[in-house]
Amino acid sequence: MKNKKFYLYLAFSFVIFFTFVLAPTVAAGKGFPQKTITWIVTYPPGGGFDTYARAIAKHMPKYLPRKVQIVIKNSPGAGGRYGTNLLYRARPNGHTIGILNVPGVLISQMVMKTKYDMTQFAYIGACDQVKYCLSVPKNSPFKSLKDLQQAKKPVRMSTTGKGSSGGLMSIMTAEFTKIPYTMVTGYKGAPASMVAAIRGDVDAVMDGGIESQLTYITEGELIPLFVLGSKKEKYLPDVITIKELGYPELAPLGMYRLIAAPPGTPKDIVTILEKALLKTLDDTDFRAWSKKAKRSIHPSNGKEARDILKAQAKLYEQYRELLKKAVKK
Amino acid sequence: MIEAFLQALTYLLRGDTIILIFLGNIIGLIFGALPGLGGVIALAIILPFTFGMDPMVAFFFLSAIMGSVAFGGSISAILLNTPGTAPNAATCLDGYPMACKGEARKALGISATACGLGAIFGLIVLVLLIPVVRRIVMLFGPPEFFMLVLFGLITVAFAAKGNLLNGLFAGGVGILLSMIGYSPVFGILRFNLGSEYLWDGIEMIPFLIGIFALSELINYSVKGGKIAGEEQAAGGKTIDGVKEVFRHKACFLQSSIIGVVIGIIPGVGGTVANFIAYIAAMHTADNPETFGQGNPAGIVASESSNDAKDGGALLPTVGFGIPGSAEMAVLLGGFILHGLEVGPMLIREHLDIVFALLLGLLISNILASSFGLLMSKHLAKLTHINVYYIVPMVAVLCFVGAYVLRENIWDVVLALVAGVFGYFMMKFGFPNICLVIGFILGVLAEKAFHQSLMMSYGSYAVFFNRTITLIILGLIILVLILPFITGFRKGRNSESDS
Repeated sequence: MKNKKFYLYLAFSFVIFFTFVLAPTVAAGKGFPQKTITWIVTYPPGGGFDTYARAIAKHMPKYLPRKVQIVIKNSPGAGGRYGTNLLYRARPNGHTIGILNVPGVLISQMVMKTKYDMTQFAYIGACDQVKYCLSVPKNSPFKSLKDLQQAKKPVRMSTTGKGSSGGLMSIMTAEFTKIPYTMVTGYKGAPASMVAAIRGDVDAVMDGGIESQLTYITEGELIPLFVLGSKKEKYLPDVITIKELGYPELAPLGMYRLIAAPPGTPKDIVTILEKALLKTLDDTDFRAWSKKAKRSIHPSNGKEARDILKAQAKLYEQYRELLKKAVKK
Repeated sequence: MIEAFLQALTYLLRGDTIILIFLGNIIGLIFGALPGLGGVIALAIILPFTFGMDPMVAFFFLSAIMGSVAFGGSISAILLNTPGTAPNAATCLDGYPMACKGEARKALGISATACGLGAIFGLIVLVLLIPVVRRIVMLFGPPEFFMLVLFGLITVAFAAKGNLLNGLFAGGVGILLSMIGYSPVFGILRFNLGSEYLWDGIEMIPFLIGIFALSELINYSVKGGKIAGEEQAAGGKTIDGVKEVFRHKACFLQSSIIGVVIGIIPGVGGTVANFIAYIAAMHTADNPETFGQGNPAGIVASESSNDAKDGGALLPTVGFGIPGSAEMAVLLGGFILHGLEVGPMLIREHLDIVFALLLGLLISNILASSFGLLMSKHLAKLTHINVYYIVPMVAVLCFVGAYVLRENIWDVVLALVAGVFGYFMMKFGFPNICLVIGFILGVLAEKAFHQSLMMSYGSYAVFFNRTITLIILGLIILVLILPFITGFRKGRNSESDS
């Protein structure tokens, strides 16, 4: 360490590094939007939320007053809470938006202390609703809900984690319908969880939701025993609903993909984003994609998104103790 | 099948496909070489740009990126002791010592050849196994996974060679570190010291960057001089490197097979493959003591398994819709974005796209290897520059790599802390590789173990009443008692022992 040039060089390099890291994007002109919009996805690339966000981000710019780019920023971690936190603390100028998992991060707020408050976000809208079904493998001895309820040994259900959407659905369903159950957790991703059921390692699976399970159901690898809903599902018209089975309380359960801006984002900016989102969800090319990829679209505006949040919060509030117990079990 | 293949081939006659394959190749090399970046980030960034393209062209492009990442990563592993991507870690073990000895060109030649041939091997196996993909995916559940990871953990003892107590200690520390974070198995947060940053545990990439690269940089800052040592000759000859791969044919085959098998099993991850292949090579070699000091077979083992695994990872991805690795998960996302339904029917309905992926991977690998062979002379020159210039630049690259992953400054802090930690581990004679193996495999083993027990309602028989599990268990026992048998025999043949 005798070389002075070395220190100079080192210091110079660090200056470059910090400039790179902290470089602000330069705004141009007035009005919204002024620069690239960052869209936070709270999961790694390749999953459901990521896919929807990318598809929308592709078609949305042309519906904004100025056609800026919308760039996806994957911020996974802590079961979705890391990205949710990032969105919560971002500058409320409309240049950062995010896609949130409800009830996922909502439940987190209920059972533990979080740095975000779901009721404070400025909701732009929602793009999708995922309904769930309980499926068993091809040669399963269980052929109906009744069979599950009368199982001699606890029904093994696979899930990525008890706090995940699929895990939540499984716990709620099993506790409510009094199926004797045990959760087998820790699978890396919904596909792994579904394959566990296909393989016969476990008896049933709800992970992935109807939209991801559909591909295996069509192939006959998974057999859906019932869907959580009050009316028949579009792609599973022959499967009985939980309401018909006598448990209407479970019918409203599902996962919603809500799109929001940080708390405090000005109303007029939120409206611009909301209009752009709704136009995108109605866009011909976007619709063509959703049909081809078999990804459903459930467009909602900002107010409807807030209503969804409120309804979900109310729904799960009644089961707070049950959830706390089951998630920690 | 033939029509799909020919369909894919016709795309190679298009100008845009060819240009994109070249472009993808370069992108993959750069992202692979820059520590911390790697395939996942490259794919995630490029994916939006593929939207308007013909899906076939898009997937030629994407697979071209994936195909060169592995070799790109080996460049920094060899020249800078920094794995460009986590699966290149084992290449540091013999690649870097070779660079230090002045044989960087030879090392690059070995890597380029092993990468290219390993990839070809992996792809051939992939094509052969497509008809039985379902059977294969069904074969590997948590018990098999556990046995495999256990096998990987056993290798810690072999990696310690000569330094057994220190090695086991380092391995144990690694395992403990891997337990930090939320455990989905138990539903509790462990050892995170109350911080949300550690909720997901210690992030692997920044940790590896610290342990491998930064610790070495600290070492050089203290020592000074050049990577290649003051008096060494100009890097050896590339062609010698190529010859080495052919000289170690058995090692190559063995490592490639290990790579493909581990690549096929979703979730184990490429990081494991190259270590297991390395240790297996060390174990079956005549001169295991030379491993870690610049034995060409070490690079052959690490890089051929690394590239073969990519072919393997494609199998569950396209055959069943479950990603064989993180890159594959992004690729699946890409499928959906292009309107292709993923799952078992992908092969049936879009076999041409599968062939596009294969061809893209193949061509990109060959291009990357050729690039490596041609440019090794210039790349090797890095080892002759005084480290005072290298250290700051590489340090910045490392910090950028650590940061870019999640745009979280604490990852950079982690890398720094890991770097200091790794430096002192080295100084006091604790092998870093044991720490890394323990860290990567520790919590994986625990998860698989408990998943297996949950599946079996708590019965330990689940580890013994399945074929593959028993086979791997047998291998483990074999590997453990073999040294005693050979040692015993040697002891009988010679008079003295100690």
